[in-house]
Amino acid sequence: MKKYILWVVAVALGLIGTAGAAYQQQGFNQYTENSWGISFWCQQSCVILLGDVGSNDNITVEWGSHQWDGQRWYGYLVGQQIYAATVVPAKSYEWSFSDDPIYKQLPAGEKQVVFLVSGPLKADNIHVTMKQRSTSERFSWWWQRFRNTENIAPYSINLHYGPMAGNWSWPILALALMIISVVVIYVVRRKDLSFWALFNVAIGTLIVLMVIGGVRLLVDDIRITSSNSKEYQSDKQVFDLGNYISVTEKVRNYLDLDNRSEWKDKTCSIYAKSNMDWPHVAHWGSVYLRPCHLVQTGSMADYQLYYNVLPQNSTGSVVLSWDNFTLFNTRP
Amino acid sequence: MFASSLSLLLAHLGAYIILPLIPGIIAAWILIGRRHKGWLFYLISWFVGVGVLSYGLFLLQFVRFGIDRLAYAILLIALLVILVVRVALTKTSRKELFGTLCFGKHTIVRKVQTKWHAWSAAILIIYILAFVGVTFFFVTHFPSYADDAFGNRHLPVMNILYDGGVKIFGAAGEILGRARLGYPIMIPTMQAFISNVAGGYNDIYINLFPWLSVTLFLLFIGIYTYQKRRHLLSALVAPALIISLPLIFLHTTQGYMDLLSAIYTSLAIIALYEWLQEDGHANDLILWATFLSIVSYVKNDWFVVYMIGTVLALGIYFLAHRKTALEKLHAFKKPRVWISLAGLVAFFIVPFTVLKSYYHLWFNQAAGADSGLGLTSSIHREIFPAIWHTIWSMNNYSVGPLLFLLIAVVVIVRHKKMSKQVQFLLLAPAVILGIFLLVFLLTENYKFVIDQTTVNRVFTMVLVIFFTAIPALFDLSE
Repeated sequence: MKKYILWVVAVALGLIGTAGAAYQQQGFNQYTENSWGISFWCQQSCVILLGDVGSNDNITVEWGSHQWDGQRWYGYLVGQQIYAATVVPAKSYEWSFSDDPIYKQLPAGEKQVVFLVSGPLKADNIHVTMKQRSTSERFSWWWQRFRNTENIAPYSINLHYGPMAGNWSWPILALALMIISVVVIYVVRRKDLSFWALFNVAIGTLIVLMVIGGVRLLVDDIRITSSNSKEYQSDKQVFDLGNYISVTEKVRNYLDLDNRSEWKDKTCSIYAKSNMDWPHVAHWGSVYLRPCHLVQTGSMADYQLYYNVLPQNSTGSVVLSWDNFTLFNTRP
Repeated sequence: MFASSLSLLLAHLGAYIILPLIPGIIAAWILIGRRHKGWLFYLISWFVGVGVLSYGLFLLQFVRFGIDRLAYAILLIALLVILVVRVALTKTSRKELFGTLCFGKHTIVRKVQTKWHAWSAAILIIYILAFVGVTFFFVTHFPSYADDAFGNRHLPVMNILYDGGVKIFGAAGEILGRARLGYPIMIPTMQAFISNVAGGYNDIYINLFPWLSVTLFLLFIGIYTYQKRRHLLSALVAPALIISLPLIFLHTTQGYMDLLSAIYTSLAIIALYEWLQEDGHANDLILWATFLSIVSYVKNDWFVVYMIGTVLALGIYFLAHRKTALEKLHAFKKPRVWISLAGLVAFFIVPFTVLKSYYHLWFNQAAGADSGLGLTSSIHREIFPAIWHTIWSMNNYSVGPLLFLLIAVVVIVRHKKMSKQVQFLLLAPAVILGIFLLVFLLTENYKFVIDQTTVNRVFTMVLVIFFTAIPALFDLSE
């Protein structure tokens, strides 16, 4: 649990209702509720108890005017402990309990939702609503999660999280649809279907769903390829790796590293320092600066390359520089 | 290094297609004679050619050849000499051999049985073409991205290219030590040669090789299935399922060897399946041995599992069908089979093994005890909850495991109504999966299950092998 905060029992027990207010709250310097919403002024730590999670599945916070330097989360009260979950953004926002990894790990028992404020924070007319989605809203939410896209990242060669249908991963949805299709076919054509035909229906359904899942992923792949291609064409930005391909190309061109006849039986050494060892230094060391090889200390290198870091302890003369990199020649 | 233009693209693409194909055709004539023809022959030739070119160029490094046109010409001449001897000994006519290059006449449209099938086939064709198109765009517009492609594959390519060849017996570890120890350098040797011919190392077009391997493999299984079933929809199902595996996109566009190993293993299993047929020919057995030998040093840690898995599956099959076993094992009475097998081992497996021995390297540094991945004292049952979580909560395998399980249940329960050869197509990936599970259970490799890394690639590739068999296991024309 990344943002796990245990609020002590005393805070939970101290939630005493304020006369005339719909919500229990504690710790506010000023607190009012009316038909426009909640208004408060919180200097330090404040809590509003919003009520049982019950059958609700999402929560909406709509901000009126506000001024703050502090933080605000929503969280859960289970028994006598408060678990802080997600930071509430400054703009109006809706989110689901089931999306919340903290919610999934809460101990069993009745859960109440709390709004936690760490002041100073002043707000007027906040609307906080918990509700259960209607069927159409639920369908729209499912569809939205199914449409959520996944980018290519360094781990993508091993891991794919994939689209969700509501709370269901694609394999679980496929299993459910497979069972439904078998039941429907059985009910509709019970008389002329053999037991093994139902297996064929199940396998056929899975094949179709596997392909639909694949088409869905291909849409992501097309989007990723198309958008990143534009970035690469304009300034050689590759995914999340910044402009180090441009830097590499400039260094290679300056040192004429692609001229193999020039480099036959010759070597050179480069000291490279970057804000990210992986992939920048790692790939320079393996492929991108060949036939030069990387050395661990700048004083032993023919060249020193600094990328996205200040060239501290650099020696030699600057032979190439750009927005975020400098190449030094340290040869005498 | 990052230059891109149409002429460069055509040079690299042409080199990757034609340079392996020519020695591949000659090698295929030597190994399998007239066993296949037309499209299948060309595709088999390309895959054999990749192996022959990679391992052949590597072999020539022992006698101080470079990675240039001369080495390529020497390789072709050597292959032609072997072919001439083979033709003379077996009295094969030239007309029969050249006949393998002709395309047969097929009418696809009349094989589509219903309108529903036609529409489904059309959708799958569009889907497969879209995948091939997007991945092609990817490998022609972006430099390499994935980490292991750099250290394990492209680094040796650069070393070999700038050295002008492989320094076989240099200072200790001079060539192997500069790459990651234990990772074979045969495919990198071929890629260094192609880079040399096509205008230098290009970090974008180097990824045309994995793309081409996958594309030609999809084409192979489509055509192979179509020729078997004469049913267009069935022929498209395996390619469509394979490209629907979530990890395949990146493996098609990056220089990892996992998918290439799975492709060669799938081809080996298909060759073995062909051999097990009643009209199976000893040439199919030789083709199986060829593909498996090529896997040996494409990715040697996985080769151990693929080789043991395939052979063990064959053993189980023979135990279950002893009568067939006796008939099939007659193939080993032919001297030609023994000569071919010995030749394959000498060509593909001995050279790098000798080199490893010279450098005192174990068969597999990448996953052996030396790298801290040896046997553990306990059984790591904790892998099962991790695998269970991955199957259901993530999308690494999509619906693949469910499909595998359901089809396995059907095949086991209805095995009497299925041909025994078809059952082998399920048995082989199942045994390979079982061995991988044992490896994860009993060795330090279990950590790759817990951290969600190698395991996802491993199981994805087992599913690739399994999906290749789906059209045979599940009749879509019913």
